[in-house]
Amino acid sequence: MYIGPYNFIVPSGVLQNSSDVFNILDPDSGGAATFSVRLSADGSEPATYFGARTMLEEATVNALQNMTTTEFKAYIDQLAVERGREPVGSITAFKNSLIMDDTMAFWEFVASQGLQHIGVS
Amino acid sequence: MGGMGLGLGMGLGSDSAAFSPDSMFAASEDGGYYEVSDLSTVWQDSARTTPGVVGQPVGALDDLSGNGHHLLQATTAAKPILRQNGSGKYYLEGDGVDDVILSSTTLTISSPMYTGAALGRVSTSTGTVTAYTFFGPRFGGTTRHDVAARMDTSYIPYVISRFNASATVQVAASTANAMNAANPFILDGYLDADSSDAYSRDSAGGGGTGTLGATAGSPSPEACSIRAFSDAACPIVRHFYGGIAVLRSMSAADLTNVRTWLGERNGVTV
Repeated sequence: MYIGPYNFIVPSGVLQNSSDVFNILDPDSGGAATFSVRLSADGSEPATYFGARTMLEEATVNALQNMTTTEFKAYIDQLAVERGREPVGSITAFKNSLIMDDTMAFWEFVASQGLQHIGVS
Repeated sequence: MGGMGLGLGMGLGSDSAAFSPDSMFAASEDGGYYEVSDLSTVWQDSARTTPGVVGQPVGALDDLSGNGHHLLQATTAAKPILRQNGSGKYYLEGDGVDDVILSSTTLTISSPMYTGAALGRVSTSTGTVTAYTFFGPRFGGTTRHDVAARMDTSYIPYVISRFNASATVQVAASTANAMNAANPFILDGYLDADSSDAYSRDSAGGGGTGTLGATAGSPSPEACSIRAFSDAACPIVRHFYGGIAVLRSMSAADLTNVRTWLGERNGVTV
């Protein structure tokens, strides 16, 4: 059962780490592409942040919101084994940098962080 | 009495009661068609193993044509949600952020070709003038035969279809044919040797017809995936009830039948 949706923003410097984590968290096979929305302070390149809006499994919400870094690392290592996914190394950068919200519309959330969408259709 | 009434009604209307989009593919035409209300075709996962459930993400929507152009999404963040409206009709709702479902297979677009979709809006918000693509074959940014709508500052969709065009929309029903805000609607575009015609209709009778400009030209023969929610960031039109894209000529009766079928997906009377 999925709940949400939830908004996420991560700095570009931890995009790879965040993608590696969501490659495990996403029950489907494409979690590495979760953070696809390119963002920057003025809406121009280069992207300095990446965003996503997604439903999550209840267990994932609990892990992201309530677990310590150590607990989260143990959780995701176990999940990687269960799902046959590539294990991730340190998750400290991801855990410390992730901005998560479930109260705002996505673009409102983006604006609240002083960011804009790059490349509106 | 009941039987007479049924017979009379069918006789006066179109023959859509007997129409199936399967007939558009009877000669092995390439393309696909999609019907969200057929829940046996809706899956939560891209591997198509877990049936779709209202309120949950959708990772696959089967192509009913038999051509195997299933619309897939393996990233949960990019999956639309299965919804049911007050009339009992099912649809996929995109989030206006990053959702898109597309075929992993391709078809090579050519003339003649038809693309149509049954869609819906999520708000009557206003905003800047822009164009958004909702459904159809698309390769990269420019090679495409998809249905799009350009919104005016009241977000009224009044421009319909484009072919081999980038963000510049080529086709226009006039603003006099603008559809009413907030209503479900259907859009289509039909390209043949002479021209490309577009059609729109909303559930209150708004809409109209348009013709592609001179830049319609001949199709570039790239192999395109079929996509729904093609412009993922579209903030307003985010409901997909069904659609069809097929490489074939269409008679007037074919167009009426397919448009009627599309309208039945989301409650639009053609």
